[in-house]
Amino acid sequence: MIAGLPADAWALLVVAVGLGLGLELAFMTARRRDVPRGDRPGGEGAEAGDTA
Amino acid sequence: MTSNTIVGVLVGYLVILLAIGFWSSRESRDLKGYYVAGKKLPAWVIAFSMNATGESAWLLLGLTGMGYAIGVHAFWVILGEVLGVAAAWVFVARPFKEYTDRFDAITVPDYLTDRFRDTTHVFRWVSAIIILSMVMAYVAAQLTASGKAFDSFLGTGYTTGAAIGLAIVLFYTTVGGFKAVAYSDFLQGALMLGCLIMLPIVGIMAAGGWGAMLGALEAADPALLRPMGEFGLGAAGIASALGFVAIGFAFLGSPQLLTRFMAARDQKQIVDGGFWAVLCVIGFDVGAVFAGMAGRTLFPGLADPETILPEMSAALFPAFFTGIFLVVVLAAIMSTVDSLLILASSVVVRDVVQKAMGSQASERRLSLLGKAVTVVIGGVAFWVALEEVRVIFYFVLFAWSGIAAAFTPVVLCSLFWKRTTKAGAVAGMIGGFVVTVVWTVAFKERFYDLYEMIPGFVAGFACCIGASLLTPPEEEAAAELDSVRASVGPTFTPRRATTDE
Repeated sequence: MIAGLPADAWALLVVAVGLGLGLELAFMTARRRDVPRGDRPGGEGAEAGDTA
Repeated sequence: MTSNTIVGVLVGYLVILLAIGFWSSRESRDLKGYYVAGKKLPAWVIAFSMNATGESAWLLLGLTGMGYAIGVHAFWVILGEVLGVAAAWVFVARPFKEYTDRFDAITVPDYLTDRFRDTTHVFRWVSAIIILSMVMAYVAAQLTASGKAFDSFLGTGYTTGAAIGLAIVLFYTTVGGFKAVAYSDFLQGALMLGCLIMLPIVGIMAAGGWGAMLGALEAADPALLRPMGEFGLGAAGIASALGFVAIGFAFLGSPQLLTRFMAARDQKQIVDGGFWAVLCVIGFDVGAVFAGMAGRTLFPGLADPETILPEMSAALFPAFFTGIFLVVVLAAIMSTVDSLLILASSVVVRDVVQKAMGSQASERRLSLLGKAVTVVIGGVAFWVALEEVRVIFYFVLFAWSGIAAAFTPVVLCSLFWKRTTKAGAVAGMIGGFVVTVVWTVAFKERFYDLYEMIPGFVAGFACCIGASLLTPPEEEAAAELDSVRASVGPTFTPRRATTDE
């Protein structure tokens, strides 16, 4: 028991919240480093340089 | 006095919705404006709109009821939904947005038709049948919830309550189109989030604090604090946990949710919106489950666990907040109904009338037709809701999985597997949908009540992959998928400097 809740229940709660949040944070961190590249307006995303 | 306060809060909320409808009306004069808000929506709107649409009244009444009835076992729902929302924004949103912008698609059948170079309109007809049948069941269930909510809070009577709910949604949806739907969803999602943060905190405090709540739950039934609940690690427990996780799979490819990605202003909105969407769904789900657990301590022995939210709001809060909670329940209902009505209208007008039947009517005229179809579909769903008022969430979960199993496996294969063919996609849609229905009707009870989403997804993937391997892929489709991938870039690594020109 940790703070009244069984350890396996805590583990499930941490995984339930952490897995998706971690995935999103990893994605957002990588994409934020693209910022100098600027926005890519939808619909004209396939500029010549992008397909290299 | 109490009733006047509740009515005052309700009227204030409805006035805001009507104002959003008028404010958005300029955008709804052509099909692109009416169905995807001209593809101009910002990150925060699509994030909240997606979650509010995906959750419905099931979140507030159903998931709080699950927290009440099964306690910690409901954490599996949190796992499925948080992971489903995150994976949708991380993996699906950008390539889907890129594809649909290239094709200028405004519906999911539009996307499938262009992706597979289909000239027979098979995707449009199959989508229309699936979406119309499921939307009718889904909206009818939500109107049932609306009727019951109005009746229990204000004593309007069931029929009047359902009619009031429908009339308000129809007004702002037909006047303001998808822009009104998305911005009202934002308001409704924010209200739902506020309620689900406040309710468990007040509930746990009223139960005597964290330790006292958990102690009371353990004394009532130790299974309430076990991840596998009363089932243990047997087949029934695993089937139950998997079923709960599977609820979140629908976020990966259901058309009413994918529409949000299409309506985003650009790719940057998707990068920004994902974080808010994940935080929002964590707040929704964790709040709902813990509110239910606190409610079990405070109000043991409820005949219907799904009434725990109204019980707690009436007992723990003053009348003004009871009005707010009525508004929040209505918000959850309306944010789903508006999106489903506009989805059904889009497959009828855009996919069937304009594309499959080749109507040459002007965009303005088709937009008006879209509004008329929205009203007709709402009217039919209302009639169904009056005929069938038995169980709300049975229909919600069934319709949720029917739409998801028909579209999600096919959308995922089309975005990530070059070898997917048109025949495979059609087989996947039909297979996923039919197995979901047949499983629910004929097999579910005999197999530990395994949620129909799982066999539906397995069948959808199996049919799509199997039929694709037996048929040749469409010309240029593989090259185009490579081009889309290159355009959106890697998922977890920054773009190299050489491509930054």
